[in-house]
Amino acid sequence: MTLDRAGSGDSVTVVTLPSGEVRSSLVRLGIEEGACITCILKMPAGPVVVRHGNTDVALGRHIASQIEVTEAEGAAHRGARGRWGWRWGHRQGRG
Amino acid sequence: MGLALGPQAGARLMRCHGAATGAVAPTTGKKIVLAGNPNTGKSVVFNYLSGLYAEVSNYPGTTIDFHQGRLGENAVFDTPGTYSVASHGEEERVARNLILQADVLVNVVDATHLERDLFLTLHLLDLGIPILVALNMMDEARAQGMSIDLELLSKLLGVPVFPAVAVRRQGLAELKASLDRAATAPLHPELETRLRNVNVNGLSRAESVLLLEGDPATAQSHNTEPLPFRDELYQWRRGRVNELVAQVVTRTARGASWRSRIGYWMMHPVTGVPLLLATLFVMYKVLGEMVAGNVVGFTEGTIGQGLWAPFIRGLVTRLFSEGSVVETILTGQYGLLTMTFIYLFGVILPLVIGFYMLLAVLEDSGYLPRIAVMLDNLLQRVGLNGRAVIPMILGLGCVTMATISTRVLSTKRERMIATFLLALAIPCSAQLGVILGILAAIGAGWYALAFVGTIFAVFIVAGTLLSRFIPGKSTDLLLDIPPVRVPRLNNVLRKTFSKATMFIREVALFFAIGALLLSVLQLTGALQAVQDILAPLTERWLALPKETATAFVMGFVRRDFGAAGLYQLSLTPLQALSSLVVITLFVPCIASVLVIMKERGYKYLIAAWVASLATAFLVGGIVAQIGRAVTG
Repeated sequence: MTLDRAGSGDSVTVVTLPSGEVRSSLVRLGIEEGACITCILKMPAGPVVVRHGNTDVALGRHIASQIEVTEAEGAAHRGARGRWGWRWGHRQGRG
Repeated sequence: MGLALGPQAGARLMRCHGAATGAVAPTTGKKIVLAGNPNTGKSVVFNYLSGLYAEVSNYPGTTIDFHQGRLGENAVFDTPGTYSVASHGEEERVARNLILQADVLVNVVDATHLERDLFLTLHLLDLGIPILVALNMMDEARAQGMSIDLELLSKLLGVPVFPAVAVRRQGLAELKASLDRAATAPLHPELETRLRNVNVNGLSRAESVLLLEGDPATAQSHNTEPLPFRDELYQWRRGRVNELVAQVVTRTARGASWRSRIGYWMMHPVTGVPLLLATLFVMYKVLGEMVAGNVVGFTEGTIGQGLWAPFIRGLVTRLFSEGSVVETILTGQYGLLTMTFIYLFGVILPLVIGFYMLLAVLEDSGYLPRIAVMLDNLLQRVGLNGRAVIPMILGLGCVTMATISTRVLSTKRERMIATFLLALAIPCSAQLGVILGILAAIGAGWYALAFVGTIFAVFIVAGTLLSRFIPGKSTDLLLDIPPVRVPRLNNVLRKTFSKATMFIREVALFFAIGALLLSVLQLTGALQAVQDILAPLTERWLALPKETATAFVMGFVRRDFGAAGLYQLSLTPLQALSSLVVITLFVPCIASVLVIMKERGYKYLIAAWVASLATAFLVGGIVAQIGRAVTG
């Protein structure tokens, strides 16, 4: 699936990134193929905010729709937490 | 190599607005360049080293030009934050040019974001320029349960690493005393192999690396083609960073901190929108009622009109007879010593201080990037993206400064749209203060809402039209969101002082010119003629008294000057509403005109100027006519 389809609270692993400038911008920030990121917030029809390690990055919907991800292992149940279901204290980062 | 680092030398802050080329003033000593990711505290370190004040905020992109100061015989430069050495945007180009000219680099690193920040560190090391690493925000890292093996980090990087808490000045003295220990890391064998792909003579190692990564600026200056290895090298460097971090950082488990929760609530649509509205309401209360009402009532009314004006008038009339040319210019209705002086210090100064203080709190808390996330969707409709929130909010401070800051936007199209919207629909702090004051004085909430609604509608319609007619499409948001921080009083006051001084300095001259112009018009009888000529426009179309034309004449100099002119008239609530709409949408001030001309060119300027004037009278008239129909 693509990142814009992930629910808030989901931890996902990046499979492919779009090419070009966006790619280098993401790689500099640590978002690369194989990185585990958590989708912490989705604005309605707006940006997706992801957390990687300690860094929060807001990605426009269009960029998010170009990032292919898979659900990280052991994270399958998290999608069931509902729309605004990012839980406090939930450990972020490397899966 | 001894760096003679004496005590802080006499310092001068150079604001280099034409910094696009990164031209550096000659100096006898070394060039010490501060480099780092956005929002890591470079400006705090710069302020310490140079003894100056470069603005410090909590959002990426505070520094878009570079700042220059002195440290002994050496020059110190503060650069815009960057995630790697490249030429993506204006800020990165400025940073890149300074980094390439550096004799010593001080890489300021946020210890809590090592995965992100060390990417730049390795990039700088690869360039082969002598470097020191300042590991800033060590206190936050500790509070987050991170422990960093500094010795190992220094060994692995091959350069000295200094722990610091810059805002508390911890570790900075050691850094300053050790600037001559800056070292060059050995060339990585992998990179050495790749550098064989570069077959251009006369390139420094740094330039060769940048050429490999396809940097267009480097290629252009050596008349060659950029090479296609960026993705590969970035990936390679990213891998090294991940390994490094795994080796030097030990994390103890922790829960989400209260700051990360607040940061989340600020963006979340359910809590974020009410919070944004509440913030705006508080600003209205503080600026419109407290400052514009009570404070200005005292400074303008009690002190200005009550004490100062009679005193200075008495003094001047002792030397010049009442009604004479000199007396009229100095202390007449538009007198330099009466009206100009009282507007400047009695009305504008308290409002500007009030606004910048509130803005500083918002800036330092890390709220602005979160507003950017919330408004991204809306701004996409007008051809911009969330990033444009920063110039727009800075525009509420000073439109001129904000026009310069449109450089943070990534495309020419976005800069064109944002510049026009700033020139048309964003009132600056002084103007905003006067507007809020007048609205609060009317006392009717509906008029205030109608005003905000009208300006907002104009903003959206103008933006949508521009977005439709300027070819291209809006770019996507990609924004690193800083952590929430408690604003430090010291920085809030210092920034407020620095910005308010700058604003008043800029305004004073134009106010004086405007007042002089008005006095001349009055003395020659031209003001009466202008009022009569404009009467059909003011009286018929806008339903305003014809004296309002004077405020519009003042508006040509500065919109806030014009708004202050409305202050003197006694208007009905409806008249106040339509005249405020006109003066808000009026032509950009002379200082903005100069900046727009420089940044966008004269054709753009003329179009923007004429369009705002036309829009102002058109929309003001529509409001007046609708208002007349509704209220009967």
